[in-house]
Amino acid sequence: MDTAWLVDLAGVWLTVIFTLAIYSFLYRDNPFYKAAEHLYVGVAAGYTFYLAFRNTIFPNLVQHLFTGVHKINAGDGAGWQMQWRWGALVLGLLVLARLIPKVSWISRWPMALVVGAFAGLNLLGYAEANLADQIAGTMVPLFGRSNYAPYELLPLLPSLGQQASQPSTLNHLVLVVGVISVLTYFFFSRERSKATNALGTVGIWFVMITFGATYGSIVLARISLLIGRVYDLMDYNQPQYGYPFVVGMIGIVAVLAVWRLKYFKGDKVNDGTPGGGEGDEG
Amino acid sequence: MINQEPTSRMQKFLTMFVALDRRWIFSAVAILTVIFMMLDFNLPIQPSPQAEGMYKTINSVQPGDVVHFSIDYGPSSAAELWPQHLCILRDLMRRGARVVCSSLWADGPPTIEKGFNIVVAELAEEGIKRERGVDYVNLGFKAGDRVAIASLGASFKRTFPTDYSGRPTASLPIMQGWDNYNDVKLLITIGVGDPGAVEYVQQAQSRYRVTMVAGVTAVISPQLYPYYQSGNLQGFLGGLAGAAEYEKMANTPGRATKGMNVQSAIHVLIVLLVLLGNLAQFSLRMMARR
Repeated sequence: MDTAWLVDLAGVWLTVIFTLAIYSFLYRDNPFYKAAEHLYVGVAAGYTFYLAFRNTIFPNLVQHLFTGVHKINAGDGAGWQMQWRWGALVLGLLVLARLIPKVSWISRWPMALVVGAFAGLNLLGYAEANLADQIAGTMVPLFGRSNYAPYELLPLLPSLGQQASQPSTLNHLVLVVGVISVLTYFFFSRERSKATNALGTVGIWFVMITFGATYGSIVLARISLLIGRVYDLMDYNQPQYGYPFVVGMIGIVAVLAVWRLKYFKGDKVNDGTPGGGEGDEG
Repeated sequence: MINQEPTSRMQKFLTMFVALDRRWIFSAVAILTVIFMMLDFNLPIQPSPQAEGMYKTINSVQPGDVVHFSIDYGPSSAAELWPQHLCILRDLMRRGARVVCSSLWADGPPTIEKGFNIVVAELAEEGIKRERGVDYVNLGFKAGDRVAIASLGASFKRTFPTDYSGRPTASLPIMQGWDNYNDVKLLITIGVGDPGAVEYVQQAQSRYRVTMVAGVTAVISPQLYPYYQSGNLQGFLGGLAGAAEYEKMANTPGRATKGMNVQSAIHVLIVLLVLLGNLAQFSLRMMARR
């Protein structure tokens, strides 16, 4: 039998069974979900360590050190240029000093280097993209010509049949009021007057609407993930694979039914309240 | 919660509805998903200005232009980002751009390989030949987040001395004649979080003023509107909906377009349940007051 096909078949069945096992949590916590969860955590930890070694530690450290030593032994002076990486190794090992309480303070040295380097790097990026460019982006005309090509006259309201976010006086006004009011809300350095309080209240409304939009996006994202899994389940549910979705579903439902009847006789049915009917299982 | 015992039939029904077991909702979502996935129709999709910006920018690429295509996601976000990845890669390679892929996520390179394999095979069927190392390259993963992006601004070849298959990048035909963002025509990132689009805007776009577009998950997309407004991004796609908009403009309806049917149906269900739940709750409160 073809080995590649067997590997493919095993992959399909594992994908389907683990997907169904994870979704079985929607019914309630159960042994299938627990097994899938534990396997996932174990595999993820191992895989992450392997990736860190293969993609970072080996090519950036081990390979260079070995090549450098090999070159020095062969009389090639260029090998010495690679030896600075011993310093990186020492700094890396110093982070592990955190595990020994008596000398844990040493781990602050490499951390200080990392924090300093990142702070310096981020300072420039934030200053450009999040400060200068954002200030420039907020300076929009309220009337007259648009600041975007083809620089047409701004309509008062977005045109019918077009996206509501099209440049218009109303949209630009919302942008300007939104920026000023939200900044006012987060300005804590002076005591608030009646006017700044009122503007701050407008600001908090803008913040709430942003949170609402973010929540809507999260719902969108989670449903997209569900759609992706269902596509996979339907794609794999083919006769050449032995209908893994149908077989897996029947198997899991049957085992769960037996498990439920055997261990949860008289168990209170979930009443819909948080934690209701979940019980202390096991 | 209403503490009084329900008396009328209506009150009993509303009390039951408010305390509806969430598993009924999960079941309804599952049934709607399967039904709408099997139905053969596509709901109308209107591309947003940011998706139009993305499409126009990608379609302004000329044959031979260098495009840095950063794939910053792994299998866990493939459901949302894979459709975006595939339709953009298809467009770029069909247009004859030099596609330079890399990843800031350790599980990104296999996804890059999968994308290349599919698109190169599709183009071969159309009689368009694209060669690894000449027309496209997978540079693999680079650790270091923002540091790695800043390093790309100085030199791609020094940041990635070898490609994913271990060949020295300096010797690859695709890497000749350019080495940093000054020579890159377009920067595209398909990203799920940090590091991703925001970090590329801060470390690459704002510093080197390279033209940039992004594809992100729906959760990340609200963060990108300010960068689009300020002109740092020429356009972006948000989640599966963004991919569907792109498919509509490219006239290649695929899984994202189909997924919008399911998405819309479930959104209607969620909105209905929220409205009905609130209505039931208010009605119960009013009945209790009487």
